[in-house]
Amino acid sequence: MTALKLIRYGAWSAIAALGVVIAVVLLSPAPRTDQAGGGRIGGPFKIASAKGGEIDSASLRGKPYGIFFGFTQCPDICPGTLMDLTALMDDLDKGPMAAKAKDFRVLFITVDPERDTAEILANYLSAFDGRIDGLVPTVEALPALAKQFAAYYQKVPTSSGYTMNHTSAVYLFNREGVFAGTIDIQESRSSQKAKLERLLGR
Amino acid sequence: MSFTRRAALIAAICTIALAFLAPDAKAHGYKIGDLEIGHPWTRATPPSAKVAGGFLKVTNKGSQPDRLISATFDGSASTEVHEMAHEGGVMKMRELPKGIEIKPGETVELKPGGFHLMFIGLKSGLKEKERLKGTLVFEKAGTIEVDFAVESMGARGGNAQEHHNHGAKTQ
Repeated sequence: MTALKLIRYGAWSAIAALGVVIAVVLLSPAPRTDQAGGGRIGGPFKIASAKGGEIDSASLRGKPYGIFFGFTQCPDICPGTLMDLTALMDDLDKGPMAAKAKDFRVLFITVDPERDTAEILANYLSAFDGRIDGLVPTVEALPALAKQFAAYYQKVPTSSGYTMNHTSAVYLFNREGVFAGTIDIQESRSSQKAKLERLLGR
Repeated sequence: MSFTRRAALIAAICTIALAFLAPDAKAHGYKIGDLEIGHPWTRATPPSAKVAGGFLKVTNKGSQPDRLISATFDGSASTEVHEMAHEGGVMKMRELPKGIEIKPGETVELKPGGFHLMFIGLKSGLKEKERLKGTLVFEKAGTIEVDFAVESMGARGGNAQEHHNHGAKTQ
């Protein structure tokens, strides 16, 4: 092999190696910038409970939980999602996850604190699983709270008053309080159940 | 084939045919002009609930379009015609002041997650298996009185219903 040939092979090898490095850099996932808070969705909160007192996110440590933004004057998605969650917990209670399912909590946060009093919310939720608690943020605290969860809500006027548009997903948080995905009413029951089992199983 | 076997076969075919032809025990329907209205229903409500959705099917057998422009429900202070849509993870609601068009030859279904009647200011909670009266007002066909059947709190209508109507605690 001549010296010239050697240089040529060397140069091509270098180019190939550079290509591999560039590909790895481009294809690898972006670094997480949210290590400190353990996720951009969620974070500490302290909100008035419909049953009296307050629910503090610190008191939920060690318990996986779901957060759902809705309101009681909601004809479909809110009672539908609460029914889904009730049926899912009922299902889990009958299976091998029963002991872990006892720890699971759901917080139903009203996006309509003007009309949803603690009493109305507590009464409304009595139709569903006892692990579902109602939370009534103040009108002033609601915008920042929704932002914390990247949740959307908006008042929509109608001829007799108003209704609300709102995020339909249930946000899931693991035992460490770290955001762990969502479940949605439009998913199949089996997909919802698989996600809850994964959350509880950790 | 022997007579008894043939008779048995005919009986079996008749039974199967009847099973398909017999109307669902719970389903009910109405006719007004060229419109056929299928099974108006609503759902049992949690305590303190102030609203409920009303659902039904309308088929236009005529040659002219018609519109469902308004409705009333004995169990609520007012009723509006609404549309719900799931867009980008957000459940969006809006009132349809002009109602819902039913084109000739088409069937429009008011169902969970889509078009629905919004019963506002419920006078008392709706209980499963109750029936409450209401009216549907069509632009051309006029006004018809109907019964709304109250189904379970988790009912979704159609085939999904069976899947979702368990799990509620009875009050």
